[in-house]
Amino acid sequence: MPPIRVAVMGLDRQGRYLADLVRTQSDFSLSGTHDTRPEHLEAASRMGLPISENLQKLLDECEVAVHLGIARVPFEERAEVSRSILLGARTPPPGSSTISVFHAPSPRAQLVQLPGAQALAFARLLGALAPFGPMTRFFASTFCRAGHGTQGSAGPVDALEPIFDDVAATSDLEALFQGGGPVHHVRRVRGPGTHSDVHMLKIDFEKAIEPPGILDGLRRAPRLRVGAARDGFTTTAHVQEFYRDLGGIRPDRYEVFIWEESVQVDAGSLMLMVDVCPDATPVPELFDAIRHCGSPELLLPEVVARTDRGLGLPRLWQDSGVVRKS
Amino acid sequence: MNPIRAAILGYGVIGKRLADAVRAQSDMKLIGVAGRPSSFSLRDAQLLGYPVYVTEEPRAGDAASRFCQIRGTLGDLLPQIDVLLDCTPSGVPARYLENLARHPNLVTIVQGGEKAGSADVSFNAFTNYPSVVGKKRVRVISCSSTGTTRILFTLARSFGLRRAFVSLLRRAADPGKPSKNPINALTPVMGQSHHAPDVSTVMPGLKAYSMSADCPTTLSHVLQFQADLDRVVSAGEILSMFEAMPRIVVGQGLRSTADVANFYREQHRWRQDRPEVYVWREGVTLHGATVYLTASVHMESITIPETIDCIRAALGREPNAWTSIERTDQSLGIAKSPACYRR
Repeated sequence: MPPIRVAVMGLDRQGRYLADLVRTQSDFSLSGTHDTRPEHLEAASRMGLPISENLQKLLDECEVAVHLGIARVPFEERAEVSRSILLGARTPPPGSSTISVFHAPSPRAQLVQLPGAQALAFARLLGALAPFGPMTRFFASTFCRAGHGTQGSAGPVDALEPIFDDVAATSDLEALFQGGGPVHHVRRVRGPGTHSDVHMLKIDFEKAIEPPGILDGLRRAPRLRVGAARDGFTTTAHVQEFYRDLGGIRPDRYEVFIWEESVQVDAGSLMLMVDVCPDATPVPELFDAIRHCGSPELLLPEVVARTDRGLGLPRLWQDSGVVRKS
Repeated sequence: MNPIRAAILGYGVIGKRLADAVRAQSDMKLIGVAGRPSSFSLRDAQLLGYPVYVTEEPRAGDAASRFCQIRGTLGDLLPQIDVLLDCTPSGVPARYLENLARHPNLVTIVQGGEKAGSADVSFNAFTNYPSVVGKKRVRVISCSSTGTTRILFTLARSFGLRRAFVSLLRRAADPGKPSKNPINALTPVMGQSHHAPDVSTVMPGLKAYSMSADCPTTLSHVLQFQADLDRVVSAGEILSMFEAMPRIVVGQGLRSTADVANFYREQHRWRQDRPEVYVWREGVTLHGATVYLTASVHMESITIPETIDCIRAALGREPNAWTSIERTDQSLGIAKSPACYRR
């Protein structure tokens, strides 16, 4: 089967990162990239990314187009040309579908809105916890990193900044929880940090749950990684450095990291603390979306499995010997 | 009645603030400040006019020897006082137990870094003021626990509280100290943090759970609450109760903990301190009978008024909690209208 021809629109740091990763997948072909800003084009050129000046031609020749920052693309004109995946749109355009590990886009969807890292992380967790019974309420208290290290003055140097109005993240969660999910509320605080977001979660269940079963379920779930502070993962820096040391040129943290000792059950509620890398976490679901758009005959579980194999997700931990058997 | 004779052991972040607070009380007198002779904090105590005592014999190069008129040792100080405010770091108070045992009438008040079991009783002015009368060793609960208690007490008293969850993003270190935390990482506390159990020592029967992580910041903690009330209320009712409660401030438009700190600097607060819990008005949200809110705790100063009240309570000098609370707040310049104290 020929590879899926993928184009990437938008070559900021995240766009270049995603285009580079597309090149690593054996069933994808990076047919081209596009941007108009000179500094982005220069950086992309240094990476050897194929750059197309002719946007229409690029869209004509690809099967799936990945758009970053929808405001810069006259999307409505192009929708009929290719199937498109959006990242970073402030509000989902009308008619768009969403994707997560337990939700596949409509087979006829021309447009897939990829939720942000936070929503995707929550979706993975909820997917892993669904077998334990109905969840009635979901509360997340979130520390958001101020920004990526390359973003000058992205946020406070020595302060914590509560965020009371974040339209994009709220829209993501509304899309995630539609259709009968638990009542949800998220509180965010932005603070000094560049690596990851930390979420303190409280999930209320309708019926009593058992802690050992929960940990087993989390360990078996895709794109979640349970690690222990007693094994050396005492801070987010330790988690980051582990991936950096063992990942080599690809120190990417695609999985949601869960501290084992933080998983506690109290009066029918599950509490846990997780670490999410905003840059890498959306990659698996983006690749799921590409595969789903390019090969609509595949069911979602097979799509997820192919993506995980393509990204080598279990290997890092298995090779390290740190992984625990469930 | 003669003023209560108090002394400070450990002139650090809390100790220096308590020294000032005691000096501001008309019914108390600060007899002295004691500390390790090598500590430069004693130099500052001397400069502020406090009598300086040392916990051990000083050596020639010690700060106390260089900068202070040393009045004596801790052993010389203890017979002169009614209450010792032990503000030494966590784990250190145990070193002085044997010494203190020689003074059976002396009341010792320790801070929240000590475990609950290390004292006869834990204390919060709002919730269990009368319970410390006659106790010889009392622990004021920690800064974050104090802030949490004020919020949950207000909600419980006003609306009934079925259950609470609080998450804390805590500063990694005080401004004057090198950080024990990485510069660019968070350090989570595994399992439940000590805060909810701590609050339960002064609010028996409370159903609460807490989680926390240390962050690379120095100014103050940020607390997020999910509180299930006994009935549906409006945000306006919630805010009204907080505005009427002493030692809680409701603010708006201050974007970050740095903005809050700067606000109090511009209010000319000594050391820019904020003993009150700050609640963001724009962060109060209701979902049915569940209220979500965001608050900030200034960890350097929040327990100061509590400790002053604890002195009066433990020595039986003022039977009414709210009378003491009002008196303390007036002396520290944080008082609200008199009606707020009529409870």
